[in-house]
Order: sequence, then C-alpha cells, then structure tokens
Amino acid sequence: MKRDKKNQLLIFLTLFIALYVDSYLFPSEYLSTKPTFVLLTLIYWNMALPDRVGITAALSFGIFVDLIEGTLLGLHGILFVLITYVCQRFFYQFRVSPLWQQSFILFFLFFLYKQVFALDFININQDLTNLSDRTFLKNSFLYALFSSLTWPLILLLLRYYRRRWVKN
Amino acid sequence: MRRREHKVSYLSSEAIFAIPAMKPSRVILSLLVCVSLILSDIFYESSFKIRGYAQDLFMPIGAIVNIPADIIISIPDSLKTRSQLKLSLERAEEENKKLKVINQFLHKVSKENEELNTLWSSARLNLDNYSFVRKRSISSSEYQPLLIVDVAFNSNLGINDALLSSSGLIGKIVSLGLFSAEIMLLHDVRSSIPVVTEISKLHANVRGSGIGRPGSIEYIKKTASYELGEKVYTSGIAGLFPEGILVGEITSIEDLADSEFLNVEVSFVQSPFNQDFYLVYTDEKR
Repeated sequence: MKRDKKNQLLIFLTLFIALYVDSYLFPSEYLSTKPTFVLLTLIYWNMALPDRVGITAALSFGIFVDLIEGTLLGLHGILFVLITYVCQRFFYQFRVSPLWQQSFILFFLFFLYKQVFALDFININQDLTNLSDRTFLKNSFLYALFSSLTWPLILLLLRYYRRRWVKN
Repeated sequence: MRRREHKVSYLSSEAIFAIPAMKPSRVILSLLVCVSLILSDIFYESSFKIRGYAQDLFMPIGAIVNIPADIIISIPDSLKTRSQLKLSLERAEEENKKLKVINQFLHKVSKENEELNTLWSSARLNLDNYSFVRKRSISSSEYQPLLIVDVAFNSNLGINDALLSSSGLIGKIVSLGLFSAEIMLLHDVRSSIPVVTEISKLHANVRGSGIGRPGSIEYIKKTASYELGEKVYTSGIAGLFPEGILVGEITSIEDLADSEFLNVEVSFVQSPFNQDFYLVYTDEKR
C-alpha cells in the first residue's frame, strides 16, 4: 500500500474511533455536556497534517454526525467545514501557542459551536431557542469547558499516535 | 514529494515549502452543498427518508461495544492450552469463572424478563399490535434528542407508530431502516402531542422543550381551569396515538401578566434514559 494512502487510512481510523466514542461510550446523563471527540480529532489533524485532512473529510464526518445525532442534515457538515477552514487558515499561529492558550481558544470556539444548535431553524418554538434558556447556557459552558480540558489529552495522544504510526 | 506540497518561486525557481491553505472555492462549494442539504431537510424532511438506513450502516460500529466482553469470555479458553502443568488447579478456577459468568448472565436475563413482563402487562389494547424493541442509543442533541432502537428485520412497524413504556408514552417512530428505527421523543422541540387532562377534561397540545426540561401545554386561555398534579393523557385526536395513554402530569401553572396564554408545564412520565426495552404500538387504522 502506498504510504499516502496508509496515512490517510490511519487518520480516518482515528476519526471513526472518535465517532464511535461520541456515539456509544458515554452514559446518557452526560450526553449534552460531553466533548465532541470527532471534532477535537478533526481539529488536531488539521493542525498537525493540514495537507492530509481536507474539506471532504470534514464534510463527510459532519454528515455522519448529523445522521447519528438526528440534527438537521448538513448542520454539523457546515460547522465542520468552517472550523476546518479556520484551523487550516490559522494553523501556523495556533500550533506554536502554548497548550493552555490553545485550550482557551478552543473553549470559546466550542461555546459558539454549541450555540448554533440552539438556533430555531424550523420555527418551532421561539421562546426556547435563545440565550434565556439557562439550562442550555450552563450545559454549553460545561461542554466548552470539558472540551477545552480534553484538548491537551487528545493532542498528546494523537501526537504520540502520529509519531508512532503516521509517517511522512 | 507530491506537487501540491510546495510552490515554486517565480524569482529564483526554488521550491517554497509551505503547505497551501485549502482553496476557498472548495470551501464555498462544500458550504453550498451543506446549505442545500439543510434546505432540503427543512422543506422536504429529506433526512427522515435515509436516517433509518444510515443507522443500519452504523450498527456494526455499535456492535464493537460487545468486543471487550467477547474477549474476556474467550480468555479462559486461551489460557487452558498454555497451562497444562497446572491443569487441575486451573480447571477449578475456570469452572469458578464460568459459574460466575453464568450467574451474571442469569441475573441479567431474569432482570430483562422482569422488565419485559412489566411492559407486556401494561399493554391494554389489541395485543397483536404490539411489538418489543430494544434501545441502542440516544443522541446527544439537547433540543432534538433521538432514540435509536433495534427492530426485527421485516417487522411490520411504520412511521408514526407510538413507542410506549410500562409507564406511558415515550415518542413516535420518525424513520425506519431494516434493523433500526429512530424515535422522536416527547422531549423533542418538534414533538407536539394532542392530549386531554384527567380532571378538567380540556383538550390541548403538549410540546417538548428539550431533554431534561418539562414540556408545555400550548395556547391555553387564561380562563382554563387546570389543576396541579393533574394527569395528562393522549386524546386520540388526529389519529396519531391511541387514546388514553399517560403522557405526564401538570407540574406548574403560571399566569404571566405579559402573556396572552397560561404557562402550563408538564413533567413527562418516563425518562428515556433508564429503560432498555419498549413496546411499539402499530395502529391498524393508519
């Protein structure tokens, strides 16, 4: 097998594992505050090997997540594509910043990411999907916090994986 | 090295080893694809036609959950061949392990049986219209949670069939695959159930407000006389659900000065988190 294809396969393997962790491993009570591992993994690969992970991967995994989560088809896709674009655009700056700064930036990114799901796309109930829903705000904060705290772990784990298996 | 990994300087003809950012045209194209998917889902509910089959595709991923348990069960067999010197001792240990595993399984099976019996005894309508389903997973979407259940191949379930627990209504089927079905829970903000209250006998619609939040009875005039703790049942209007299935109970009635209607909250009878088996009621009339 060609090295490029093998690398691609190894990268997609991590994304599929992250998708599996997201969908099946967490107890139901923590579903709204658990980090989105597939997005964290996608961000890592965009930082580490931006030429190996592109828009197609972001779009495909976004649609996978939409199908699994039951959200509006294309919503995760659009977010994953935008985040991938931003990551690739600024990966030189992001990659060299200290871990705590990366986590801090990701905290805000994930907080904003969560807010998109509060938007009422199909005009169901205007009272619910705004910032006055304190439960949602609290869950968004916890979600962003847990995601940003998980980032160093994901980064170190995937860095080890990349150095061990994904060869240039 | 692949060509797209470097550019060539126009001045010196030397390679510039910088990874190019992705092309904006591809990003725009992807965004357009996503927007068209979103619009088709909003206006034509296109995703409901494929979600059930998509869940069938993801089923093998879910099956990986069982792999650790399978590995643990196969450990005694693999040790047996390696340890012939301590054969007798290990046999005893192995028997012990087997008994423990069997005990665990028996305990699990009896618990499952107990759950199934409770469920079955709760069926009040034509028993032939009921079928069992097992929970596979719940999505993490807060406002639009989806319950995924395993269904038997070639089962006669249909879209909009009611999902019930021993306590009451859970939701309805919105998408069907070959081995999976997606359930829209009562907690879903898109869910609206025609109901009737136990004491005041008032008809209304209960709308979900997201997981972990009470539902609300919509558009109720301030003159309506609801009571706290009053039970809410399906009314059978619109033919979506059979009549008289418990939905929840009224937990709060607020008369806000700036609102045209009463603010009535309903606590749903069953959390989808703490149950593994459900009944699906298929209405023959539909």
